[in-house]
Parts: sequence; structure tokens; C-alpha cells
Amino acid sequence: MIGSGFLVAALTLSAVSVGSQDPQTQVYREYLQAGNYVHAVAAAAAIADPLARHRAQVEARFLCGDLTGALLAVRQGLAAHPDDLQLLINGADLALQLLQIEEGSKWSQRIVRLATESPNLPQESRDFYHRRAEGLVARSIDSKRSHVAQAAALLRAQCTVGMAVLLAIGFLVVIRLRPQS
Amino acid sequence: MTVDESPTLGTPSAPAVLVCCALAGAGTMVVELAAVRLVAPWFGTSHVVWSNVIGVVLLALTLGYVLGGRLACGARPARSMGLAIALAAVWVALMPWGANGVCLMFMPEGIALDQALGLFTWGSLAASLLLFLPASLLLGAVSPLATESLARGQHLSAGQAGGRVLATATLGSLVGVFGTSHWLLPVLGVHGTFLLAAVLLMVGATLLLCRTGSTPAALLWWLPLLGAGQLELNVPAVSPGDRVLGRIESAYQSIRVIESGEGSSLSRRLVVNEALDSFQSVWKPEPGLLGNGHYYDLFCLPLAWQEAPSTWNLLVLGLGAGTAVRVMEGVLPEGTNLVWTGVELDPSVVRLAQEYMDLVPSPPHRVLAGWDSRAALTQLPGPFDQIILDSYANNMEIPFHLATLEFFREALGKLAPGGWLSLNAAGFGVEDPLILSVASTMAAAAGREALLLEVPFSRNTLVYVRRDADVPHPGNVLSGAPNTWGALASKVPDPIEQLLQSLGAPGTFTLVQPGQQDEILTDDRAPLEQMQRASIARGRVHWAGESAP
Repeated sequence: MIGSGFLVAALTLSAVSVGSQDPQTQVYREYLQAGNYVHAVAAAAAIADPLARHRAQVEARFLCGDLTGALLAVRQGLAAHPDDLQLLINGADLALQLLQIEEGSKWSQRIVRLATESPNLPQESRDFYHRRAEGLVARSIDSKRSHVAQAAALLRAQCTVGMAVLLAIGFLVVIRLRPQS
Repeated sequence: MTVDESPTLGTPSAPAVLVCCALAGAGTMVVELAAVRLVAPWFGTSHVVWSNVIGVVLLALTLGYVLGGRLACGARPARSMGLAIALAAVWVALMPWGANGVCLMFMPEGIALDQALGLFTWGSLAASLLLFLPASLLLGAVSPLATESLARGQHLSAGQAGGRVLATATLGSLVGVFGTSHWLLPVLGVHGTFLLAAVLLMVGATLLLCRTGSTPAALLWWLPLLGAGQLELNVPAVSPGDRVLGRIESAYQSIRVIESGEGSSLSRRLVVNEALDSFQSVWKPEPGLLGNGHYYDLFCLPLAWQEAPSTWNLLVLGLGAGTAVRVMEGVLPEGTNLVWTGVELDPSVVRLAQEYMDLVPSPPHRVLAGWDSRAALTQLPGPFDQIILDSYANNMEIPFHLATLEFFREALGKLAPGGWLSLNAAGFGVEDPLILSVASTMAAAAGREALLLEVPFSRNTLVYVRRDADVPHPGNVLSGAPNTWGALASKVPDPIEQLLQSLGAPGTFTLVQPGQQDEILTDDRAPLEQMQRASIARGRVHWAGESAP
């Protein structure tokens, strides 16, 4: 027999902008550029600015391939910065990839709302966020559809088995009761 | 109550009745054994699926015996027997054609392997009921009808007639069992097997119906059978843009080689049975690391963790299409020569790999095709610098005899001092109880700690232990303490060095000590299938289910 592999991520993280004033941010960026992602995770944790730190932690975790850790970092980031569009986009992406459909759907819809309502957002950014959000909403609908299809198939199977059992019992009863010719 | 069958209606001879019994017995076993293969592309061939199919056939036979007993009271039991066999033959011929529609009702397209967990149980049971119950029920009715027919026609006692019928039916079943597994499925495939079974059943039905004066009806029954023979066998569709290059129904499984992409993004995957979102082997045009999400890359890490000798003796248990070897060939340190031995249970996998995935087992390399990994291990002399254990059954289960304390001890005994035993474990992170249990067993066998490393962008974890040596500690990557994590990185090709830099982040690895309190798997008790299912059931929730702060 042979081994089995499971790919889980076909997504690419939305580019993260991290403030550059903090010297620790520079260290973080240098690690990223060198492809030294494990050290980047540690460097990200030391960034002073909370929002930049959360964004960097998501990015570094994702680049390590640690999607669970990246999603956890998104949740922590959004708890402190619930309206940050970058965290929302990356969070929705990760949540949908990890089949956390409700969470992904909720964040996708929040992106749409924020992109529409934020008064200071330039038109170009607004369009960008709208496009990304539309894609994410479509993915969340697909994921929900798949989830519903799975649940429906399970119910269908259970009903079929139940019906078969009833029919088998009915068959035996009819055979037993029906007078022989 | 029995009713004498009038000689004017035609009574088939005893040999004719007994031949039909044997055919019905054989047909039942063909249906039972080939049934699992028919639904395998959707539900796999796990013990659960086997149990469901066997259970459905037993239920059908029970009902069939009752029905047959009832029909045996009629005026013409031999004719009823002929009709039952004819109807069963048509149903058997239609099964491969109907499987796609029925199975898709219970296993929708586009869902992930771990989402499908409940459907493997309930879906395969429901599909088996719809697909296999009617034919098996009709074939079950044959024995009582044949007994009655023999008793009346040959003036035998019920015991005498029943004994002869049971003996011939069981003999037919015996032929059906061996014929299906060893000849029909490998040679004719699933569709051909069902079709041949249907034809043989229809021959028996025709014989009986002609002998009972129903010649025109007997000939008419061939029409639907001939129509069914023209139908195309439906198989699960591949994703848009993917191409199926090769497909084999082997003695073990349904195998496909699927090609995706063009040019530099060209890749091929070898998948078996239900597959869903999993793969067994991967091929890219150039040897070397495959990139994010591919666990094979992590098999190369021992090359960076120790001074590689001039010859790296590698044993791959569960060779598949040779992906691990191809990846390693592309990243060998300068001056290191790779000599590999691959063990693969299914020779058809090797055949497809040679045809589509550039597997070249020329000396000094060799492939033991058709060998069980454990049996092969005892025959191989060693010593090996690295043993890769990548054996899987049903896409998600490590065969239990390849994950026990006794087996790991045998494997470690075949390693050179300092050699590496590395295992691919599919699961949900380094805290998955199944993976911890396998790792604990490895650590106990080695008497040293085992390293568990999550594969980036994947649901796989690699487990490493060494013979008479310690594994590197990823925790030291950040502390800067000297260790072998990347000590040799400057001597190994860049891709491995880059790979090392993304491995070992906190939470993505763990070390398991020998004697840690996880379940140790032994030849006596290794409930891997149950553990695997529990792992999948809790997996998605646990995987991303940490509550928000």
C-alpha cells in the first residue's frame, strides 16, 4: 500500500502592510526576505505596534504553513482590531480554507460592509476590497453548499437505510400473513 | 405443502437444476466481492464498507430464502427459479451503470475526505442496499426453489434435495470467491466482471426456462442484458482541466493517474479508490522538492541533519509511484550517491508509475512489487541509512501491522547506527492522539525520543526516530543553541536549507519521549482504523476550533 497526502492550502495570503518605523519591524522584514520564516514568527511577536504585530504574526505563521496558527493570530488580531480590513481578508481566506464556514462568511460580509461604509477609504481601495470580498463571499457560499450537500446526503442515506429496514420487515410480515396457494 | 409439478410443463433434469444452483452461488459471491470494488471510487474499501456490503448481501439472502420458500409452493418452482435468475442477471448487468448515480446520491462531489466520514458508513450502506440487495435477494431465492424442484422431479426427500443444492451452491460460491479475486477483477475489471457474471447467470436461466417450456421468454430476457452490455461504465469525474492518463482496476484497488496544468505547472497525481482530496503519489517534470503541502519533501531532512555518507542507502516501504525517491534524487548533496529499494504491495501501481511517473528501477536500485512491507522487511539485509514508511490503506489508514512496537523494532534493527526511521502520518497536527500514539510506539521501539513535525500547508505530520542517536530539536532554532537542525545546511542544496527555515515554529512540532503515556500499539492490539476515524471526526473542529480570545 502507499502513502496518503492531503494538501490544505491553495490560497495566497493578501499582501500585508506592516509599519516600518519600529526597528523590530525591520528585523522581521529581513527574516521574511531571507525566507527564514521561523525566526520571522519570533520577530513578529516583538513588534511594538499592536496592529502591525497582529498582521505580521498572521503573515509569518501563514508562510510557515501553519494555517491553524495563522487563523488563531487573526482571531486575536480581530479581537483587538475588529475593523481591520487586512486581517479580515486574510482571516476569511484562512477560515474558508479550514472549513470554518460561519466564521469565514461572517468576516467576508463584514469586509463588504466596511468597504462600503468607511468614509476615509480611497475609491481604488474600496474597489479592491469589494472585489476581494465578492470572491470570498462566493467561496463561502460554495463551502456552505458543499456542507449542505454533505448533510443532505447523510440524511438521505439514513432515510434509505430506515426505509429498507421497514420494507424488509413488511416483506416478511406479508409473506407470513398471505395465505399460500 | 408441496404441489406435484406436472411432467407436461417440463421438469428440468437434476444436473440442470444443480448447475443453476452453482451459477447462483457463484453469482452471489461475484456480486459480494466485486460490489466493494464497484463502490470503492466513492466510499473506499475500508472494513466499514466491507461490513456494509456483506451485511446487505446477508440480509438479501435471508429475504431471498423466505421468498424462495414461498414461491416453492407454487406449481412451477423450476420456472420461478429461471425467472429469478434471469431477473438477477439483468440487475447484475445494470449495476456498474447505475453505480455512479446511486453513489452520488450519498457522496456528493466536491467534499473533502474528512467531511465524508459519516458518508463512508451511512452512504455505503444505503448505496449497497439500492445496488446489491435486489440481485442478491433473487439469487437467494434460488436454493429453496431448486430444492423443491429436485425433490419433486427426482422424488428425493427434502433432506436429500437440500443437501445436494447446498453442496453445489457452496461449490459455486467457492469458485466465485477465488475466480473474482484472482482472475475476474484483475483481468476483466469491475464492468467486465459484472457483465460476465450476468451472462453466466442468464445462460443458467435460459437453460431452466427452455426446459420448463418458456423458450420465447428465455430468449427475450437476453435483450435487456445485451442492452446493458452496451452501456458505458460511469466513474467519478475529475476536476475541470484535469486529464486521466491511465486507469487500472488492480487486484487491490481502483487506480488512476491524473494530470493537471501545463508547462511549468504540469503535475501528475496517482490516486486510488475514493481519493476525494487526497493523493498517493505526485510527479513533476523535474526531480526535487515539490513545494508547499507535499510531505515527501520532509523525507529529505535527514540529509541535512547528519553528514551524508558517500552512499545513502534508502528503503521506502510503500513506494507508490516513487515520489519520495524522485524528490530525494533532486536534492542529493554533492558527492552523495543514492541507492534505493522500494517495496510496493500493488504491482499495478508500479506499472503505472513506470509508464507515467518516470519510475526507473534499474540496478543498483530495485523494486519489490507485490510484497507486503513487513514481509519484505524481514527479507532485506540492510543496513539502511534511512527507512521511509509511507504505507497506507484506504487513503487514510496506516495498516496496523506496520505501526506496532514489534514492527518498528524490526525496522530499527535494519538501520545502520544513527540511521533514520521516518514515517508519514496523516492527521490533524502534532496533538492528534493517533499521531501521538504512533510516535510514542516509535519512541518506545527506539528507546529514544521521536520528533513530530507538521508538514506546512498539509494535514500530514512526519515522525522521525533514530537508531542509537538523538533527533534534532526544533526548539533550538530560536534559542540559537548548537544542534543539528541546520548545522549542515550550508552543505546541503539550497532547497532543503530553505525548507528548514520554515520548519519548527512553535506549535508545529513536538517531541515524544519513550514511555510517554500515549497508547502503545502492538501486534496484539492496534486499533488504528477506529483511531483514524476518531481523529478525522475531531479533526476539523480541533484543527481550527480554538476559541477566540
